[in-house]
Amino acid sequence: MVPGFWYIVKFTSASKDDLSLISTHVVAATMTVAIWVSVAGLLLKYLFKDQEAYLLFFEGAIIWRIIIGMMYYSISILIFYLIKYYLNMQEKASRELELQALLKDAELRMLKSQINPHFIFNSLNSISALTITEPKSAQKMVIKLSDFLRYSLGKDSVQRNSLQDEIQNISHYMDIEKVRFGDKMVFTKNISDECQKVLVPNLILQPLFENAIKYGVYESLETETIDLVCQLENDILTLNIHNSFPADSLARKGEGIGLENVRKRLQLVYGNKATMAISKSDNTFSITLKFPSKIKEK
Amino acid sequence: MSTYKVLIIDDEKLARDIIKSYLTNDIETELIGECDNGFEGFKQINALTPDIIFLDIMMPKVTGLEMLELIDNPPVIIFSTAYDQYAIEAFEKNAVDYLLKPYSDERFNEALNKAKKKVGQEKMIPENISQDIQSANPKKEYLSRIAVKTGAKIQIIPVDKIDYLEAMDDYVKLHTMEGKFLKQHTMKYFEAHLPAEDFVRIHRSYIVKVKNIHRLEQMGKDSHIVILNDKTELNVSRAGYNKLKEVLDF
Repeated sequence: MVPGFWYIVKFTSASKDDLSLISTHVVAATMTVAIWVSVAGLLLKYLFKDQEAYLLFFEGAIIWRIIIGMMYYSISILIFYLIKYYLNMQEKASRELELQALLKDAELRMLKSQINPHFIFNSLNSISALTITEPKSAQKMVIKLSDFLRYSLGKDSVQRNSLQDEIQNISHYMDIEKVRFGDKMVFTKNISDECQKVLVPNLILQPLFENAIKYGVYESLETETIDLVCQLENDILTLNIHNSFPADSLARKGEGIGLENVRKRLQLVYGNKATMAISKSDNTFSITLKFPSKIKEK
Repeated sequence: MSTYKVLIIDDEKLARDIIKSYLTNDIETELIGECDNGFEGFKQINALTPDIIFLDIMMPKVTGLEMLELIDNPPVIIFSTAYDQYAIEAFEKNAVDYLLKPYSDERFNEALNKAKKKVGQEKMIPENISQDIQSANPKKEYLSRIAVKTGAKIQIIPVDKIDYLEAMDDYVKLHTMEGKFLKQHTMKYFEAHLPAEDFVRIHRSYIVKVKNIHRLEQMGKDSHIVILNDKTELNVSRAGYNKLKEVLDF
C-alpha cells in the first residue's frame, strides 16, 4: 500500500490546482482507511474468534482504528512530500549548475573566440591611429571599449539584466565598430518604452550582433544595415535583429556556434516558452527571439 | 638615393591612417596609393607597380593572401593584421615581415627597413621549399573557396561549385557549373586541401567531386571510368578505383 501513496504524491503534483489535490487525498485516504479497517478487522476477527471479550472491545474500537489509519496515511504522505521536496531541490540545483556552466562557457567563448580577440586588437589599432589625429575621439573610444569589456566580462553572478542595460552594451559595441567601419555600417534601433525594464538573460544579444556584423559589414564593400526592434505584447518580449549582407557572399552553413548557444540558453531559462526564428533572403538575415517578460522563479 | 613606392591595402581607414602617419617620418618612401579591398589592391599593384605594400589579411570578399596568390611578380610585402594565425602562410608567400596590430613606430620602421633592403635584390623563388613547409604545416584546414584570375579581375569560386579538377602542366583547371578556370597550383596541393570526404583523386590528372559522379563503369580488365552527371567521362586509375571503393563503400 505504501508504494501506492508514493504514486499519489507523485501524480497529484502534476496537476496544479489545490482543490483537486485535496479531493484526491480525501478519496485516497478514505479508500486506504476502508481497506485497512476491513482487512484488519476480518483478520482480527478470525484470529480471536474464541475470545468473546476481545470481540466486544473490537466492535467499540473501530472508530479509533479509523483515526489511527488516517494518521498512518497522513504520516506516510508527509514523509513522501518531504522526499519529493528534497528531490526537487536537488534537481533545481543541478539545473542551476548546468545553466551556470553554460553561461561560463558563453563568457569564456566571448573572451576567447566570439568577441574575437581580433575585434579588440583592431579596435586598439584604431585607437592608436586616433591618438595621432584625433586624441579626443581616441579617448572616447577607449572609454567605450572599457565599458563594453567591463560589462561583458564582469557578469559572473548576475544572470539577468534589464534589456536597457543590454542594449546600452550593444550600443557601445556598435559605436566601436562604427569608428572602424564608418559609413559602411548603419545601425538603427527601435525599442518601445515598456521593454526597457524587462529582465533578459545577460549577453543574449551579443552573439547575434557579432554574427550580423561578421556576415554583413565584414564581408561587404558596400553599406550594410543592422536594425534592432524590441516590443512587448501580452507579457511576451519580441526581439528582432535584421541585417543586410552582400548577395554574392558564400552561403552560410548551419547556424554557427553563436546562434546555437543563444538557442540553448533560451531553452534552459524559459523551456519551451521561448522561440528563436530565423528568416533569410538573398541579402537579408533576420532573427527573432520571443520569450516571456516575466519569469517565475522556480 | 632612391625612393620606394609604397601602396597600402587595408579595409579600415584608421588602419591606413596610422601607416600613412608612420610613413610621413620617412623621406625615402613615397605613398602612391591606398586601397580598401583586395580587388582594388590587385588592380593597383598591376597598374602602379609599387616596391613595397602593406597588406591586411581579413578584408571583404578576397583576403590579402588570396589576392597575393594571383599576382605574378609580387612586390615586397609587409603584412599588417590583427590575426596571428596566418604568419606561417605569410612567410611562405615571401613576406618580409608580419606586423601585428597595433604596432609601434619602432616596430614599423624595423619592418620598413627590412623591406627596403629587399627591394631590388634578386628574388629567389623558393617553390620547393614552400611546398615542404606546406606539407609540414600541421593545421588541417580545408579550403572553402579559391581565388582565380579572369583577365584583369579576381573571381572567387566556392569549393562546392567545383565539379572536378584537371591537371594542366603547371596549372590546375577547375571545372565548375559556371565555366572553367585555371589556377597555378599542383594537384597535390588540391588533393591535400580540398575536403577529403567530398573530393577524391581518381587519377594522376583528375580530382572529382564524389557527389558529381553519376556512375562507374568497367572498361577493360583492369580499367574503369567514371561518368559524371553531365556525361563527362574520366579515366580512373587503379589506385583511384581503390579510393573510390573506400569512399563510396561498395
